[in-house]
Amino acid sequence: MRRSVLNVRLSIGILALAAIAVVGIGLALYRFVAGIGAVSNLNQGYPWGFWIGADVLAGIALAAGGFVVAGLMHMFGGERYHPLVRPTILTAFLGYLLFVAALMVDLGRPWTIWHMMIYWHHESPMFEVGWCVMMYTTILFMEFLPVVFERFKLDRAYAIWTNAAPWGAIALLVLFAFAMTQSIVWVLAIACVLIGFESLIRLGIVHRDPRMPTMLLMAGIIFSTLHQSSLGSLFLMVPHKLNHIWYSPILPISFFVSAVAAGVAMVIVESTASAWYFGRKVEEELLKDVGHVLTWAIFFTLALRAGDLVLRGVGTELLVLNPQSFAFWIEALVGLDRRPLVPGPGPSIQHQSGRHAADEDERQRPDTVRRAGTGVHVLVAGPRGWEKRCPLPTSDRPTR
Amino acid sequence: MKTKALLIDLPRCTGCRGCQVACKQEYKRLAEKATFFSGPGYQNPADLSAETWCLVTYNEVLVNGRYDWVFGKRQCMHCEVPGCASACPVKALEKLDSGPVVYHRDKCIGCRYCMLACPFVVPRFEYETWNPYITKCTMCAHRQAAGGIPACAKACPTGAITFGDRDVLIREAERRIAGNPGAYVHHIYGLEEAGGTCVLHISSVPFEELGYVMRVPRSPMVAHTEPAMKAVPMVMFGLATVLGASYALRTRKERSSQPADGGPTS
Repeated sequence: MRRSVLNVRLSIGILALAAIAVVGIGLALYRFVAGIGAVSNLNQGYPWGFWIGADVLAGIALAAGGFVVAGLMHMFGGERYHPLVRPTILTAFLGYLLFVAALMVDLGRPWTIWHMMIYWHHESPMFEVGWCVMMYTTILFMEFLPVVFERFKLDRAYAIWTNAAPWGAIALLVLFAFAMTQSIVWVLAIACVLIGFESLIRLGIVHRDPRMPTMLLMAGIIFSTLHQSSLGSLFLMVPHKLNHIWYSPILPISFFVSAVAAGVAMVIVESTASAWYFGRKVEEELLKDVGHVLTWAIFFTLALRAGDLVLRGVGTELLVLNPQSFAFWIEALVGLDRRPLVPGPGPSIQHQSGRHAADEDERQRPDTVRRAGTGVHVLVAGPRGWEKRCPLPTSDRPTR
Repeated sequence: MKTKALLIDLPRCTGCRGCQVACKQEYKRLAEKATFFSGPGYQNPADLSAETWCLVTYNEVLVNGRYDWVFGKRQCMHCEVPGCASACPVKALEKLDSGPVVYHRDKCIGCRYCMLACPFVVPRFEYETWNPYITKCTMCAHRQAAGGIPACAKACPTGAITFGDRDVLIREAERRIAGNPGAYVHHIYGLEEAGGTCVLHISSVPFEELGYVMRVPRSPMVAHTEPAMKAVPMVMFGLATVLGASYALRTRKERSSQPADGGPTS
């Protein structure tokens, strides 16, 4: 009964989504004929727009569930969360693939993206972002492979993978360290820790997890941490363009913290949604615990944000009515749905399972909005004086 | 090699736009269709673009109680430590020892981070083609390499654009300001902006009235991202250590309950 209702609803939804997708893909293809200017409103003063804000900054935070679950919970003793590991890895993998696909439309010359592999520039935050994407997507692919091996009963390949994957992960980490520092000392230090740890596992001194090589998960956490924070580093380059409500030296840290919160929220959304879709029982006990983590993550994000604003002395400026403070309050009020904090320490997962998705969907907004905010505000706050140099017909004559 | 620079003496500029034409000619950039607009700046075209790398701006400024035309110049500032080059992930933008910041178009991936990073809002992107590049002034690095001077400086009939060694030009700018303090504002635009640039401007009216970007940090742009980039290996090292140790501690009980041979589990 429920199933059929679902199908009817989905078919309408799918039609609507398909229509949007057809228009979107059409425009994306047209971009490769007539250029980015033909399909977007970007211009010389505002070279990045909502596409970057939504896709690169907010979208990637939604894929952070992969490293939060597979990472923090696995590493710090959340054995019971294990059922969530595979779905979140899949979500993260799909998320990253989608992200890369969307990036191809926004990059001016996407067919030269491989240049990042041969022309190294470790000073550039964009270089770090690009490498993190490449590395983490590879790691996610490797983490996803066991599903394929199990499905097609490729026992031999599985055994080879179990043995080789940790070394593959170490190789990627060491290569990454070299690309980012070009310093032999750092490379050796990091290689020693990683190889030492893996050797301890091989020698049986440290427990070997039979389900997933720990080194692979570690690599995932490291790359993902660096990727989320490097997206914040990108905006350290624009103190002259980003309004100081958003510009802060701790941007990389706040990007990371908000990604953790968004990632945790995403875990609840997607496991609820998939349970609903496949007609399974929602793992309520488990999700309640995830909700606990989420409460703390959001609380910490809020505290960090508030502390940052106060310590930089920007707090009072939020009371002045101007486009920037208005945008901030929109971001804060729409984004920071404080419901998880209201009932106190306990999460407020409601018991009608149908409500979960929508409810949690709102909870994860804070961080995505924040990030879209940061991205978009480079553009909204913009290069100051741009309007002056690109005059509109109505602009004033200079007076004094 | 001594760093070369351009000194733009704005009071000497008559607004003939010879430099603008010379630049177009040198690089064979297309002409643009322009429309008349009112407001600050009657220049043509309105702003730098993918086709216009050098632009004389027309500014109506109140001088001694009456409106007067005061000209400004827009072009790449050729920073000593350029934000665009620091931002570029593939080193498509390069600072030459001789001064110019040049663009290697074959390397560029089109991410436009250089446009974001430039405090002077100079790099331009070709939005109207499927295979776009960044474009900007190169300070005629190829002409310099051949022993010439930049096309704009060559074309300027009034000596408003002087090409020479940066330190010599700084002294010259100071001398001109000191020699006629009433005719110049006491500010060499480009001496400290963004950590110093290789295009120096001196003016008779405050630079903000000519539409110059005033919100430019005094430090090179890379100084803002450097701490974050320096932290990358520390984060890697720290995470690897903490995660490894935490995992080992957490699983120390499970280890004792399994065979210690450490071989692959089957």
